[in-house]
Amino acid sequence: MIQDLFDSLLNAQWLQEFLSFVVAVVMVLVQIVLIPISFLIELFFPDIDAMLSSIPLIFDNAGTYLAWTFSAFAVPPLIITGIILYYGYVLVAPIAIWGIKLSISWYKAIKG
Amino acid sequence: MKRFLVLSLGLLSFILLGVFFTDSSVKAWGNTESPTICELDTQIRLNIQTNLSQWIRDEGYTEGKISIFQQYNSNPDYIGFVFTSINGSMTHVNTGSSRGVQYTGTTGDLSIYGYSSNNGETWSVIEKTSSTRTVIPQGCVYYETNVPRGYAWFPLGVPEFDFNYEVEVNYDDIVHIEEAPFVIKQNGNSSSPTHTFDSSFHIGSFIAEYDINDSSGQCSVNTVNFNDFKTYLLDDNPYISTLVTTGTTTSSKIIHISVLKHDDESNIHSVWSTTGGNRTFHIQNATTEPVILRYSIQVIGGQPRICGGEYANTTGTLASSASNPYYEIIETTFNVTYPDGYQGDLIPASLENLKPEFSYTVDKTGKLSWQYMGNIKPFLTGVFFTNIDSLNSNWTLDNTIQQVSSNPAGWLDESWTLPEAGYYQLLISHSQQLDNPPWTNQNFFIQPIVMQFYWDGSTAIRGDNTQCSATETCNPLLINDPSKMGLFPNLNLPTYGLIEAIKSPLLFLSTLPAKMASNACVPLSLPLPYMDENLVLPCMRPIYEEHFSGIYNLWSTLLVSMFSYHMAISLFARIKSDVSPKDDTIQVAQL
Repeated sequence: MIQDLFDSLLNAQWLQEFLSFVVAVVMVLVQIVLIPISFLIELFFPDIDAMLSSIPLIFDNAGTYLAWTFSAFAVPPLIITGIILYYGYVLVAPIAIWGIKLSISWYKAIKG
Repeated sequence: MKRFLVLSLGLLSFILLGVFFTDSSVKAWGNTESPTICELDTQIRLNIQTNLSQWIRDEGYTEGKISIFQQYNSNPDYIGFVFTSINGSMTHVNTGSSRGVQYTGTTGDLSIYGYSSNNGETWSVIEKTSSTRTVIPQGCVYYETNVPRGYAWFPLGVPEFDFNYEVEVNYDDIVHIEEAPFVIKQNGNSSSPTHTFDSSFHIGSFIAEYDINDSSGQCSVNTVNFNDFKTYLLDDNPYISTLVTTGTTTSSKIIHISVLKHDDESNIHSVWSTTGGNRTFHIQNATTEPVILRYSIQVIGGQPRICGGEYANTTGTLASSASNPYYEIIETTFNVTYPDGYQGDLIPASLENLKPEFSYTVDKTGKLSWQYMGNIKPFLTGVFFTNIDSLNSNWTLDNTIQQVSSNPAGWLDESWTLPEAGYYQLLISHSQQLDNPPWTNQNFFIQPIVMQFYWDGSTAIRGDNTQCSATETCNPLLINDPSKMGLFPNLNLPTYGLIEAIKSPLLFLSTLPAKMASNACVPLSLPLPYMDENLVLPCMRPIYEEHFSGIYNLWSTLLVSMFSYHMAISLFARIKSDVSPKDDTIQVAQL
């Protein structure tokens, strides 16, 4: 039952879209900030740039082997979904609470 | 003025947020068209469901074979098949009351034979359909010819059941004891008592058992199946059934019929979860009539057997105690059997609404894979058959571009790649050994699963059929490229190595839920040096569960305990920190 509950939470659209949203924001900001220095690295150190370009492969492979590794070590699905949900909470909760507090401050400002 | 400005700013922010999220949510789901699925498919399925009573099912399904049986009927009618990737040849089967065609899934073109008979005994091939079949859109092949009435369906993932599990039931477990809806008392020598069902009698399905108990108290249970769990609804009333007893009844014997209802789930768990040695079943019953102990155990599905010696200590003379209510303690032992894999669980009344669940992913290079999510117990084994079809822009079949048989079941090799952007369809069917399914004569067949999706040639997607019926398509979720998910979908910034390196953990994070899902494991395929083969490492957890269940359970319990303790501690501290009024910062750094 707990596993089903965790799975339903994990598969919730809002969580996945929220993660994607946060990642998209951070990525765009990082991209914009790093464009000048990245351009310089590519211009003067093309080999380093090529080396850096291969780093995503590490994460691609990690993603491929991660689920199998968890399976090999017999990690119960409950723990896997629990970890994801925990870090989902870590990402979501501060922003949600911050938003609530902001709303309250707005309300007080309008009222006052 | 200040209030007005704040109010206006807040209102404007609200509107902008609404526009943004509306826009992003639409784009995040990609194509929002609702593709149509084969209408004929539905028509055939309806025909099957409305003609179940005409089925004769053979017990001998074997792995790799699909048997299609039809009941003899002198009226020529049609036979329909849903096209799957299963290929092979048909053979004639004439076993007992089962006659029809048997389809062996191997390789080759789909061949369907029709058999006709004038008297139900002599069958002959009248036509082979491979040359005359008509391919219609949406991946269906429909064939119509003059064969005896019958409807065919390819079973997909019919579980294998084992009816040898024993469980004991005691009185406390059976919370609900009620008088059976009908009781037949047979005090004479007649062996054919008849009972007419009342119009208010409404049960889902039932099995009737009658005990012929002798003075030694030996359990002697005979079972009468009313057309093997056929569902009798109010519309069927009045239904008249004749029980033909096989035992010899005398004046001292009472035929006892108990009805096992299938529409009450309240007591199932306690019944199923009761294990161990024999239990004592106590009943106190006061009556001025000959004692007929009546009880029913509500079960869902399955084919429970209850063996009871209710009259172990009686000889049917309790009628003499009319003025002195007689209390009798009865001891008996019940053996309830149920399908393997359902210990402590509910058994669905039928598989009518149970469908195997699959998920699929297409990565950004077009590599396609799917997984069986293991929602039907016991796990499906054997071979899955997969069609990968390309569709045209209105979601109708364009071409079958790949047919795959996957063994072991549940995993499609990722080596196949979608050739280009476009509309695609996965059609997955499965062959499974069928051994005494509890849903005799019910719609236990599971439909082939169809999943359709659009791939844009560059974005990874995933989807499943968990939220959709077999004839409905869920739009896939986009994964792997959050920049295309609504925020700045048309913003194309230059990419450099440094940016790729910094973006990669974030991309990894965004796809982590999909990759870490409890059923996301796929077998690893590693190329072997100097050999033209790959080393395939299967997912280990199901193997542990099957072969080392004790150690696995111990290990799982230990891990879950440690994890729960750690999570409880850290979550408590985090919540305490989050709600602290002294700290309003957002700790983005934790990303």
